[in-house]
Amino acid sequence: MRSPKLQREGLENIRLDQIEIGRHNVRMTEQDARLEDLVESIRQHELLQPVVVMRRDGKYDLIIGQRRLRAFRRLKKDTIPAIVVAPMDPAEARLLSLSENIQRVQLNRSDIIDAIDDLYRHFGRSGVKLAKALGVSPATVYGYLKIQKAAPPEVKAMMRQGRIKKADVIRVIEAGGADESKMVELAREMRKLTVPEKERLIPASRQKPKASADELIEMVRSPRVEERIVVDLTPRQYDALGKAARESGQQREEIARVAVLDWLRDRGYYAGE
Amino acid sequence: MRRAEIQHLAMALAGTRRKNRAMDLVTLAGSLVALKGEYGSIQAVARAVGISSEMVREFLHISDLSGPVKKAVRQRKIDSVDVAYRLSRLPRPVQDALAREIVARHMTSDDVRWIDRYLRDHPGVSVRDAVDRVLRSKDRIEYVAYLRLSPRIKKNLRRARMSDTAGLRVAQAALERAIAKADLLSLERLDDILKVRVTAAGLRSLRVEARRMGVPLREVAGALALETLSGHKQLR
Repeated sequence: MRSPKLQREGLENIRLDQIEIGRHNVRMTEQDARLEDLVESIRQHELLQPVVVMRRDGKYDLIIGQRRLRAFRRLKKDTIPAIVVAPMDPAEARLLSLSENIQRVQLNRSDIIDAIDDLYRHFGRSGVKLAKALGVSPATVYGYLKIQKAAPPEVKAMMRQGRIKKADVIRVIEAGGADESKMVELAREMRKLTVPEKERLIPASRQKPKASADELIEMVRSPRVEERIVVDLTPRQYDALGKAARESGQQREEIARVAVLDWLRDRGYYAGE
Repeated sequence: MRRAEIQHLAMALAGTRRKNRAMDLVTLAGSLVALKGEYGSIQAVARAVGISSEMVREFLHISDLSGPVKKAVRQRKIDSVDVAYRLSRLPRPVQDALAREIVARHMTSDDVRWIDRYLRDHPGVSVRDAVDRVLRSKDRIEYVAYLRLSPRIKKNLRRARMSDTAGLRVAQAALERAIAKADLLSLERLDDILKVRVTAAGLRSLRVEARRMGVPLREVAGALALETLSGHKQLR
């Protein structure tokens, strides 16, 4: 399946009662989220962008613009400006609807997951082809597919309710291994963590794969502190170090580190690498 | 093309396409606002200046900053587009409070992004608490410097009728004044040495002090002590 091209038949004012929010539109949840803002914006500035519809049996299926259509209904308008496109197969229509929404990230993530899972099969299970058709990176597509496949229902529900972000669900899946209850416990804690703490979750789980959720949270809450000792050199000593660095093709810091280790080894203070 | 339009376009080209801007972001945003009025849309401005529409949009939001934040941006205490844009998206009181912290704590745009995220996830938390919580959670590099009293400084201290221990006590107080509280992580006295643990900014402050007094870094504590006691500005 190729990426569909919109074949416009024209721009028309279509009666609202002739448009059906069909199965092609990927927005299944949060249809009314911040609808009042949109209603107010349309009241003030009119509609800036027409909706996209496809002709079917004397009526129209809505492909793109569900919230705009709902806003028009709420404003009790009779017609809405719409771009009418040539009939296309259901998967193509769904792809168009998704690609429009995924770019703006105004769609509930779980709607995106359902749509991507569906389209993935239509694209012969090629995440790369689907990503190209949607205009997103393959990593984005595979991320959603991973969530669909591996996230426990409770975590998916949290995502639907906006209590956890997509990137955090992926972290939770990675850190949880195959343990679903661990994933749920981690998911509950994610909102309390800062971004640097969240970023330490996967490395911590790799370091201690058998650690419980509580232990992992404890680990990520402790930042890594690297201690550097400041060595004060005179300009001549610093120049000498610079010369050694140039001649050996190494950094000054590396030469200083080796020199310190050699000194410690020579005097029996250190026996390691 | 009118003269004003040419000026704004020149400012926009010079300010958006190079790393070392010669002007502050508020001035630059003003030119982009004028160009938007001239050309009619963000897309047209983006085409004329040769940057993305998203980038133009971020610059334009700088005009939405509160008065005190705009002042900090004009003074170039805040000089990152990303930081200014993120601030512009926050409610005014939050903008002001966060901008003060950004200036005081030399924050990066990553820090601001993370704090912004944390504040959104925890609406009841104060800006100060969010800043503390996020900054404390970061992986960090700490610099440890061992500062001693050189024989030359000890001699000077003795001339000022002062023991080495008393000299170190004065040095400790002087260091606490020279390095910002947030950048001085710990300070310990080990016999006749001061062990100082600082952030990168704290180490910069130490180097600045050493350069000002013309002494090596390891002697900065003693030199500060002597400066405090005698009012000598230079130790040679």
